[in-house]
Amino acid sequence: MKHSKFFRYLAYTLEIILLFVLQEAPNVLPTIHYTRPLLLIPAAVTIAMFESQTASTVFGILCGLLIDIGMINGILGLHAMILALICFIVSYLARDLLQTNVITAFTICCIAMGITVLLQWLLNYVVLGYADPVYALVQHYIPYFLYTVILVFPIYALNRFFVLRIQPPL
Amino acid sequence: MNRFFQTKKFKGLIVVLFLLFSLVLYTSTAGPGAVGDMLNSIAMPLQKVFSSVTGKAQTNTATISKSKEELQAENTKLQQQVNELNQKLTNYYSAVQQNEQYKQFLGIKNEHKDYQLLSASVIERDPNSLFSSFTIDQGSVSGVTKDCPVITSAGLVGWISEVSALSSKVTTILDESSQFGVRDTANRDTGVLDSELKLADQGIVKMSYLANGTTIKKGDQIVTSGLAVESGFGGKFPRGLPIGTVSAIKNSPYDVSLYAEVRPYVNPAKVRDVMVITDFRGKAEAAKESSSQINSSSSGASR
Repeated sequence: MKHSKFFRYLAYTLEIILLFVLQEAPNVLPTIHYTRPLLLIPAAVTIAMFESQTASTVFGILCGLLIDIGMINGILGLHAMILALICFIVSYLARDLLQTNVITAFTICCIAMGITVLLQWLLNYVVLGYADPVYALVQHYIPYFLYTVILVFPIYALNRFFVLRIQPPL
Repeated sequence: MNRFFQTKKFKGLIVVLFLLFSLVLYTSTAGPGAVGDMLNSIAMPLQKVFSSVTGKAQTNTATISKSKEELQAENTKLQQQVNELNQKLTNYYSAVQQNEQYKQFLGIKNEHKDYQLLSASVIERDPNSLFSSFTIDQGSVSGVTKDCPVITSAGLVGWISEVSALSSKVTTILDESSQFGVRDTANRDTGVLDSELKLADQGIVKMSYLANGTTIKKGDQIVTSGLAVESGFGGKFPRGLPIGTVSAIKNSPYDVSLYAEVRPYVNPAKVRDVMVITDFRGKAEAAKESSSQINSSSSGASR
């Protein structure tokens, strides 16, 4: 029981590190309409759908801190705080109220990414007084949101695979 | 529901959120500091290794795919030889690239003997950045400090905005927060180089606050003036760093002044190897000049 949990958490950790490196490395993921995706948000949200509240919050904080340290002129801890809260709620809801399937994962990821993108737009663009915030939202932040949420499907499949394969023997 | 709010897990979440909020408050006022430095130092070697592996993998894929049909006809022994040659070729390309970098390094060094140059590679690109900001593999251990200019042999790319021990974050000249003094080499007209997102998307920056009778024309070369302007960045760049050429002159939508659209020589979104000017003649004086400018402007600053 404990071993399977340990290996599953190890698999999640390796997945998060790999996704972080893929997300940040130059010339790996293609740039579409000026944007590249934020892979760690779908990863944190889909892990939260399968795991306990404590584990989900820890993985949410890990993903959030990695996003924060990758950001230039960003606020350290902001994404960690957002993802900790979202992952805790998702994990709680997934226990009794939500069906764990790809449609739910996509919907929750849209909400999580929507909150993140809106906060980024407000804090990193509007508050700084940069010109034409509507243009930035339409041409940069919305394509960035769409590019990220599309990738929830393979990431959900990978995490589901971990959950189904790394289980305690019956 | 009330029972849920009294659970240990919920109380734990509140404590965690409080700690993270404290971190947010601390870093938003005092910068990333030791925590950011520590986290960057952990993540940086990973990014560096992956960045070099993907670089080599791309070269390998390209070389192998060129001779794929021939390789299919070859026997095992020849395949092995081809693979060995490919490996040598990869090393050769790497050496050529390095040699090219050193040549450029030497060229700039000969031209500006006062520059202390440090070669660096791009190891990370921030997907959250709208202005092509990136991270390089040199940090404070190698002598990089905040606001050091980042260049290529073609011209200015940006400046160092955050430094940790082993890596540094670079804000590019496309960034909307950039504001520094520039001049036209043909007629010595000066202006302020800034940017906005719409132009940055086309890879263009603006030379603003040109007088109505300006003689700047399309094709003129724009270089740094070395003067501190408002933000203080101007004073931190050495004089005469090439930026780009004027592509158009337009009326400012906000006042009667004109601005020139400048196409930079370097596209910060595609740059892979850069050089950091860690020291240059007059840097200390320029820094003093900038800090005094910041102090005097902070009393009446609008932002």
